[in-house]
Amino acid sequence: MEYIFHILILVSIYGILALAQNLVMGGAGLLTIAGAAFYGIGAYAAAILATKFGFNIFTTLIIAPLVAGLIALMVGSTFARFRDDYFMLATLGFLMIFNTVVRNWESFTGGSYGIAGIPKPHVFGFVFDTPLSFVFLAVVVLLIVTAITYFISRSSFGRVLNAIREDEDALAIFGYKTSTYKLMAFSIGAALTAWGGVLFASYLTFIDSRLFTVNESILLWAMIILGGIARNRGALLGAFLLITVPEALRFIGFPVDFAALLRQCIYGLLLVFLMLYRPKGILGKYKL
Amino acid sequence: MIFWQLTLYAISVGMFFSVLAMGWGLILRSAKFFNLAYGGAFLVGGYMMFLFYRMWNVHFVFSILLSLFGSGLYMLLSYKFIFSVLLRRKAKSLILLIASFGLLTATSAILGMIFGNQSTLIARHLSDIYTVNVFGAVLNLAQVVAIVFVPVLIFVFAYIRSSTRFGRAMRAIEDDSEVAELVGIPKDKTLLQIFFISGTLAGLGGIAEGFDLGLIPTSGLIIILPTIVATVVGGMQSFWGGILGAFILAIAQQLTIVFFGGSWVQAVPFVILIIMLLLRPQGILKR
Amino acid sequence: MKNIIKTKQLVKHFGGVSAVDHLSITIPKGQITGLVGPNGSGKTTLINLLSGFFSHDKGAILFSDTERRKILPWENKIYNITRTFQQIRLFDQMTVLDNMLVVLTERNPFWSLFEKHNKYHIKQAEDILGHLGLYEKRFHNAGDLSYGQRKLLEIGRVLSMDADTILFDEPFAGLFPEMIKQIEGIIKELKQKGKTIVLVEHNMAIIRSLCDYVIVMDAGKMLAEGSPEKVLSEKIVLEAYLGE
Repeated sequence: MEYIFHILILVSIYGILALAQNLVMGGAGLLTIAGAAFYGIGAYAAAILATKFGFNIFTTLIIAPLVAGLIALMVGSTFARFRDDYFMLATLGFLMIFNTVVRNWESFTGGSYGIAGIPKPHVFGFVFDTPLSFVFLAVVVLLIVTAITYFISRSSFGRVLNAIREDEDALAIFGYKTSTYKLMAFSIGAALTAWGGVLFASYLTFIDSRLFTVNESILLWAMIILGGIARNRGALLGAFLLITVPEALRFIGFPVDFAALLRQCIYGLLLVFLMLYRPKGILGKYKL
Repeated sequence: MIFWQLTLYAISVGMFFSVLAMGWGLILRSAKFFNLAYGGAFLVGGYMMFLFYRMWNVHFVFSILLSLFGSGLYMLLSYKFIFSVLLRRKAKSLILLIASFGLLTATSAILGMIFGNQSTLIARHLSDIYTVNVFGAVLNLAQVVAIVFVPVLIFVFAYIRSSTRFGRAMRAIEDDSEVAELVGIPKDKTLLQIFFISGTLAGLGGIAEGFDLGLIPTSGLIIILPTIVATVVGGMQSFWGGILGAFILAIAQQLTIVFFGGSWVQAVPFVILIIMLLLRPQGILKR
Repeated sequence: MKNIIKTKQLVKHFGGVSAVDHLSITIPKGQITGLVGPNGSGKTTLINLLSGFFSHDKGAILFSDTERRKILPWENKIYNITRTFQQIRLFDQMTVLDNMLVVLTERNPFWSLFEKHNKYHIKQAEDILGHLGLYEKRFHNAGDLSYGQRKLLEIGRVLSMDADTILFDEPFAGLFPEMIKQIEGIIKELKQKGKTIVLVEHNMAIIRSLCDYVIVMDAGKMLAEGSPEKVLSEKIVLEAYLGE
């Protein structure tokens, strides 16, 4: 039973991440690989605030998105001018810098030793330390993120993002400051992604620099594209499938490291096959 | 003296990235997409060299030839079965980018499964890692070979590009592949050759890295960013642009090591990229 | 005098070629100005400069006598100017209705987050679509429309923008006669509403019947200007067209 709770928590966390990044990738059509960086920023913000300053994880649920959003706002203000391949390249560079900083700034992030002893959230004397209670928390956050992403994609803002994805120059002619829209989408995506990071840090109680590498971003890409890019329910479906199906590998009994590499290989090949045979993904309407 | 040492380091690193940028630029200019699978060819070359030379004790020359052939073949097959299909479909460059990223991820994962995640050095004999004293500066053999051998390679390529039939076909495709096809240049065949050559250049980089610093499965991704930055900064439409960019990058990296420490080297390409995209998006050299 | 467009010594280079070469023109308010000239004479470039699609290299563009050093596309909303494209540029993977709504809704990124398209937006869009005969197609993707319908939808977007100045870049190219009639009618209606219209067109019959004023361009320079009858009978204009 605990195992099922564990899977549910992971599905919720990755559902949050995929929804948030889909807002940037699908909604605005900005191919970003920086997902793992904002995931990591959320996790580290929670971990550092909780272990060094004694914050409650619930408080960090409010602070971490602000931190991630602010960082996204800063780097994004230069990135928002770039397009397509160059945007991807800039976000890749950002992710690598994030990894470098986390690895080298040991006094703050713990470097490769990581940060241990991250507390579970508690509110009014109730501690979310049982798996079931944590499932509850994760699902609630997932529902909030789902509501937000649906709200955005159905607003005028969401429609403008789609138009940017289709033809940014033509849209600008109609009086839109497209770079501001891109910047906002990037920052909102980053802030929502940070929630996934907070939950993850608090659930695992331990994080280190190897958890938030480009492989995580590739996994997010695979989830979003498999489910159907630019569709919120696609991101959820992708997260569900790519968390549950590879769990089968666990029962075959590969060593942990090997299984991780095997999963990574599967995600990579999945992306190749999706691009070749079904770039729309399972539920997709939007053709990449 | 430190200045002299740093200069030589910068030159050897510049040579290393020149090779990589040359090969990557070939694909960028002809097939017009960001091919991240190039990092895969880099790994395949390096790890095949490790396999043949270090593990199976094959003769050095044969090992190199086999590894280069292997990395070229990797690239050729990736074109044949993935990229040519997408290109024929006139897919957006982002689709090709995602596919190549997927291929790179899968390749480094597979190599990680076979060879393990630890750093892998190719050197077999002690003599492989001898250091050489060049007027007071200390370089290892891989660096010396790079400084001596790469300029030759660059000029051979410049000659092939400017004066052979293949070079002309290549340039025609870079200009406009549809027009090139109309005037009877076999586009598909030329692209196959370009991908193969590009793969061997990546493989050469991988072998050099394996002798110099050692390979890890993620190095395929780690080198791809500086490679792209070198190509783009110099001016991606120009053959010499990539080489210029490689040296700019190398010098910036050495300066960073001196002033900020070696752990920040990975940040250099990113910073250069941002500065360049803001100031001069078309790169330094035109075609 | 609101919204009169002038250019002063306007220059735009592409590589070594001057697409627009020290061009000084005045576009009269409330009239239909035809922009004619051989291919490559810089008409589309001029439209691109006026709408901020490209930035100009030298010279000045004046809107109602305020000089704009740099034309930023998003300011088109403020200066009340809009355009169509020669190569149709729709938001292909959005519905026809969304293509219209995106022009109608809030421009401020922050407020647009909290705005769902309102009833009157939908009504406005549907009215225009009805007027154009695209109402039935409103839930189709713009990319699935026929060529003529796509041209119409572009004009629909322009109509919903309700700008004072409208730049049409070859709106009739490749269309059937009935559709040309329809679009001619729309342009005439716009004129009656007091809009300033710039029309790039090759078909002299259309120019004669629609335009109040004609500017002839060749190699980025102005060759002649005046009423259609006068300009189109001038010798240099005929030479430029016939290449004699």
